[in-house]
Amino acid sequence: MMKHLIPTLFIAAAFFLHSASHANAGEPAFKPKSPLSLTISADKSSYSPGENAELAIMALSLADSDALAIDLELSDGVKIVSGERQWRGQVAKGQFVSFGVVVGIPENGFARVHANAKLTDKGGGVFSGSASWSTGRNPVEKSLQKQTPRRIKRNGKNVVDYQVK
Amino acid sequence: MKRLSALAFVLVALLTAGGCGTNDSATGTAGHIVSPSEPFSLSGRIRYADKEYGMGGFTGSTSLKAVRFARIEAYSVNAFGMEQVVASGETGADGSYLLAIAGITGNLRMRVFASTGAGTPMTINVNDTDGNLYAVSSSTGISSESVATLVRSAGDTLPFDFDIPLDNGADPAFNLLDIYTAASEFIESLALSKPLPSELRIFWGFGSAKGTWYCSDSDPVYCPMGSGAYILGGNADGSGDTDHFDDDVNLHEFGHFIAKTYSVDESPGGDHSFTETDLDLRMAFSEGWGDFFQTAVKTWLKLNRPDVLSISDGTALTAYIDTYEHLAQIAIDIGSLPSSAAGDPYVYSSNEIAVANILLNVMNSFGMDAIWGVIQNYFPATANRKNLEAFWDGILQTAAPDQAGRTQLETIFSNRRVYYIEDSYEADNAISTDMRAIEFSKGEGHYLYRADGLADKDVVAFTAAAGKNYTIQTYCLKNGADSYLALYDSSGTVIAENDDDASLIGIPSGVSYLGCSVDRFTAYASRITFSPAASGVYYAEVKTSPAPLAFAGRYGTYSLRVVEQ
Repeated sequence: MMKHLIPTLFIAAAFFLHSASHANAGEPAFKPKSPLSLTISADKSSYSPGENAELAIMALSLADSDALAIDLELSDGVKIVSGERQWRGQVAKGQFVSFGVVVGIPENGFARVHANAKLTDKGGGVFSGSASWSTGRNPVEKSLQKQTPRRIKRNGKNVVDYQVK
Repeated sequence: MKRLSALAFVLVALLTAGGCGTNDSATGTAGHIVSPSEPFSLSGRIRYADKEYGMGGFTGSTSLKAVRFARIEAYSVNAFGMEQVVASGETGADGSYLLAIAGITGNLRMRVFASTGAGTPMTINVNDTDGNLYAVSSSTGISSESVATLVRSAGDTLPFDFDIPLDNGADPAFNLLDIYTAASEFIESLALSKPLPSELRIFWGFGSAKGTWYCSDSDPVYCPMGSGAYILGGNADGSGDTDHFDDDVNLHEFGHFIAKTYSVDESPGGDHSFTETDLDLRMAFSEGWGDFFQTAVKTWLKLNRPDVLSISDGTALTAYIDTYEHLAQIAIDIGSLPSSAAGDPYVYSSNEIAVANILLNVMNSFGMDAIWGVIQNYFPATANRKNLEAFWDGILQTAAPDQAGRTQLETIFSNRRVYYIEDSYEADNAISTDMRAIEFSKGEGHYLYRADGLADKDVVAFTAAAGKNYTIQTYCLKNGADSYLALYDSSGTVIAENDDDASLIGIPSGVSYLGCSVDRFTAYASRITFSPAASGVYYAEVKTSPAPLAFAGRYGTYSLRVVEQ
């Protein structure tokens, strides 16, 4: 099944290089970022209906935690062929947590997997991260109706005017 | 001026129903010019939709809040769609307004700009990423025929309220307007050495993974529109990490604006997160100030303008919450950190939450004015780097606490493992014949700090035997320590010196070295190995490097050991 991915949980012992904070010339101070980041990668770029997709979910924590929780949300019709829909456990600062799942692509060809990760660190901070993967065209997705504002000028300044509908 | 309260119901009903006389098309056939009405006044309230948030993120509850101190105008639209401004002004503290209108032809509407007027300490303008000012117009209007019906005598007042709903494309601009306005009101409550700048510009749009930041100057990549707060997170469709309803994030950015305006902010900028314990001390202070500032503003608002707050019941004023879509991606109560429990990351002067917690507790004990005195007056005057060390020096100077106050300050700092106190080995500042001997292989914890303000030196003695090998080293450098080690013989002559232990360069962060996790400061430890030609007493002296790095400090904590091989 999982040709390219390790089918069950592994915790990479690799320590992170010190790159969490950095200052590049000319960069402003960005807002504080979550110490928890998440990615989903797949074994292929596209899939046919009925095919299986091998996904790797990887979290990097820059905080020590006794309680890291990762949960997967699947779009309609997507089934887990192998692997778990969630992961729970401890994580050390700088540690990667990774696990794999195989999901079946439904007949309409559209599949989306959304991963949410959440941890509470030893100082009481609660942090989360999320990532999404999808393939195919969402048959129920509606395009957002964005209002095009009117453009006017006031006192020499350009104004974008949104009308209340 | 007589208010036609009885007519209000009628008018509101007309507006709600969208019936006769309430929209542009009802003003008459093309080419028909409606006669001007009598002079009258227009009065009402303008509100925007705001989202409530708590430790879990957005609660799902929304409320209508006053659009405060915003510039407004009433305008008429004639049958050809031509606009004419018939009155302008601004809303009050409760979103209400009153405009005198000489008369109208066509359909009357209201427009509110995401821009504050004379009622605020400074002008806040919320623009899109091209620099266009946001505005919202009312959906319905009052036709001149309706006005003629309702205004029975000159000077009558017509009611006209309008609310900006959550799904209006410009609604978030009015939350940003309110938050930055509230922050400017807080700052105005402090003793300012100079007036606030005339304007603060906010640039709000979608599409940057970097999210939100403040620019004090122009930069072609990050600050293309010049100085101001850039609120650019989230995806093009409005999903993802947007910040326009994240009040805490925006108040944090206002804190940067104020530090740049009234003080000296030496942060080099870049990425950072709350759990990093080895930030550049200047950045840790700058960001810690921002993290603290948002709690200070909310605390002030709770007392003075509780209606402005958007936090849910039970959410601490001292919390910092940043949402990702509807969930909190960062949620921490800066005012309720554990007492330096094992694994607690919120420690040291190189951690921004530790800095924020210290500032918060100083505010609670000594007042905001004491903190502001350091930020506004001491920082610009001192030549030292602007970090938590400078804040400590400043609070001692400007607040001049008595011994009890000083002890209180020491406790506040020590609770976050920041030790601006003399260590237990003082006085050990100079070589003397009765110098204390260090025990071989046993690490000693030292603080590079002297209460009299002079540069600290920590000296220990040890007896070495000719022909044996000895290693003297500092390690576990914390709180921005950058040590310098010198070895003296019994006559007081320097026989070896070392600033930085080159053997530590390149060890990956996170690896444990002598019981401490390797981080930014590890490689600035010092080490001397020697084999004495003659047996006798030798002295090891540790002080702050005479050439400390910009991200390090003048003080700091470290461990010292002498190993006999």
